[in-house]
Amino acid sequence: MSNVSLRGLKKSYGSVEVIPSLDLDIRSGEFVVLVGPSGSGKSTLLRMIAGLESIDAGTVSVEGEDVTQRDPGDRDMAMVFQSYALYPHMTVAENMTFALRMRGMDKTTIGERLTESVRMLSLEGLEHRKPGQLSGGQRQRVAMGRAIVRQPRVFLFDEPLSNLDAKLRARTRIELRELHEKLGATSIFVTHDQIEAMTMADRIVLLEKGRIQQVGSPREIYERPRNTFVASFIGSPEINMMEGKLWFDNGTAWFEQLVLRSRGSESASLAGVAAGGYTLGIRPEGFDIAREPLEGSVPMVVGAVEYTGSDTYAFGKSPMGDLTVKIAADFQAVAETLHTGETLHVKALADGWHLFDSSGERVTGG
Amino acid sequence: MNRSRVGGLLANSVVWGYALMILGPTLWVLSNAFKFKIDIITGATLSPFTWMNFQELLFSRQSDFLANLFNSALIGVVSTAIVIIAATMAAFTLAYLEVKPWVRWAILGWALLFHMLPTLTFVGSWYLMYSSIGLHGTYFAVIMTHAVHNLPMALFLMVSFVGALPRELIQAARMDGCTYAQVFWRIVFPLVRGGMIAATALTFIFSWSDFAISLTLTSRDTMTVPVAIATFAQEYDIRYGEMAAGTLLSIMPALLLILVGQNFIVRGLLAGAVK
Repeated sequence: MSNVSLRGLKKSYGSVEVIPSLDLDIRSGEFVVLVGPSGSGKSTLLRMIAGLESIDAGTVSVEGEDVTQRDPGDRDMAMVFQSYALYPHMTVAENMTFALRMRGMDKTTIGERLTESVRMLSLEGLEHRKPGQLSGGQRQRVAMGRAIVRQPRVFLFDEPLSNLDAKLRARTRIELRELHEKLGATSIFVTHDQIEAMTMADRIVLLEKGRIQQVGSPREIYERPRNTFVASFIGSPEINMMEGKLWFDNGTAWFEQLVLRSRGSESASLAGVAAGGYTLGIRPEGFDIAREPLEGSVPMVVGAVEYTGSDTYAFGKSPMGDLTVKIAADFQAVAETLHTGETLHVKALADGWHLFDSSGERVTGG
Repeated sequence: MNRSRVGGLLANSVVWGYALMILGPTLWVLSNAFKFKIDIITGATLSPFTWMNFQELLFSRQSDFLANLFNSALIGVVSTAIVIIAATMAAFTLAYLEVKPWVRWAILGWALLFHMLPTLTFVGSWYLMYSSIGLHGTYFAVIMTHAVHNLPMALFLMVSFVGALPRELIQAARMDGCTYAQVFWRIVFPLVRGGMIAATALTFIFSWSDFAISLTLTSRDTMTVPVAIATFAQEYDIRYGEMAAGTLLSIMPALLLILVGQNFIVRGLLAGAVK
């Protein structure tokens, strides 16, 4: 267990700045997920921590020890690759013990560690197979095993689940998380999949264009997105973003035709906010739905209804733009009879909204 | 006749014409090797069978053919070994180490250019170079020149083979604590063995059948088979029988290598074409 700290990390390819300057502290035993769209620099960052990518400026330290100039093999970090990168000419056992043999560890210890990891990953009976004779899921576990036997200070994961089918991915997500609880090692996990990030992370680091947009627990990131990018990236279906004017009338806050309320005292979260132009974000589940107009609601003409089994979403047009609305469970009767072309009336739930200023930064919200 | 039949006929005749161009002389040489000189000169198709040409070639005092075979083998084996080791290591360096792009392109570009220029452009200067330092006619001179001459082709082959290895494999080995040298010997070397066999077969055959370089740089003691065969054609007497027998014998190792290596060669030439 070790903490990892990144200070002023910079990386450019020629004139293209991939990571302008990045600081991040990862606590000991923490499971941190680096997430972002493709080209956000998350994989590059992971490879810089691993030592596989040169660093233009800044330092990487593990437990206060500067490892920036060390070889990848001397950082005591293990990595699980997206393609697994198993050595095709070695058996499962040889693959898993390769790093230990390179370190000249004695045979008994190697044997013990191998047996333990094989059992932990239920790879019994496959030790003498070559990677080519394994299924995708088994290969993935061998790749994990290769990292586990080393008992490294830090685990690095580079989208290790993206080559699995959906069902196996969901299961492996849980297994990986359980494994983390068991081993308690510091883990840095890269993914572009927000579900993976949300379900696995202790803390999420959201990157875009090499800059950290927000660091926080999955709940913090979802419920208090720091800017419009974070709000849009996390959440599926995507958050509704509306541009318009905020105005006050007798203590009631209005955003165009929508009333904005807070739980407890009315409009409390808007105290001290000036009227003017803003961007309003409301997640699909942040709406109250009715068949008749309510005070502070907008009409929405339903264009499509999407039934996913557990949830129903309605997509439609309103005076404030296109909206995606989740139909709450207690409104299922409506969902069943809802049809295209019908008009629904939606209003923002108390604290179900986020207000961003013109530069996209969070002002206030639920 | 419809179009496709005309096309088929055309294609067939091209193939057969091509086969005739190769098989005709081969069969002619093959049959000459077992004929008496008088039958060869008179152009007799059906003639008495004899081993005499082989006896003359291998055991007469006028011929050093066994020594020539040894020279060819020695030069071929040593120069091929040098080429393959250098090419594989260079390919690894070019593909995975931090080589500046312009250096990579300069090396590969020069290799291609060098390979495209006719060998005869260079042999004159090589002759002068080796003569001036007193190394003309030595094994060293021919071996080094064959190595230099065949390196570009082997380099191109090995770059495609080594470059086809997934990058993450090399990175995984680095994470597992390998130095680049260890990555090369423990990961890259075992995985490109097929490519090395292909490159070895081609390089050896090129060295074995080379004429221009060997003619210029060998002396009587280091003479290779192709040069020796050419010496059978003298001003007043062309010894067709011995030439044919020598050709037949010299084809054997190449044929054997092709049979062993053809799978690998085809794969090598296609490497990188499809994933």
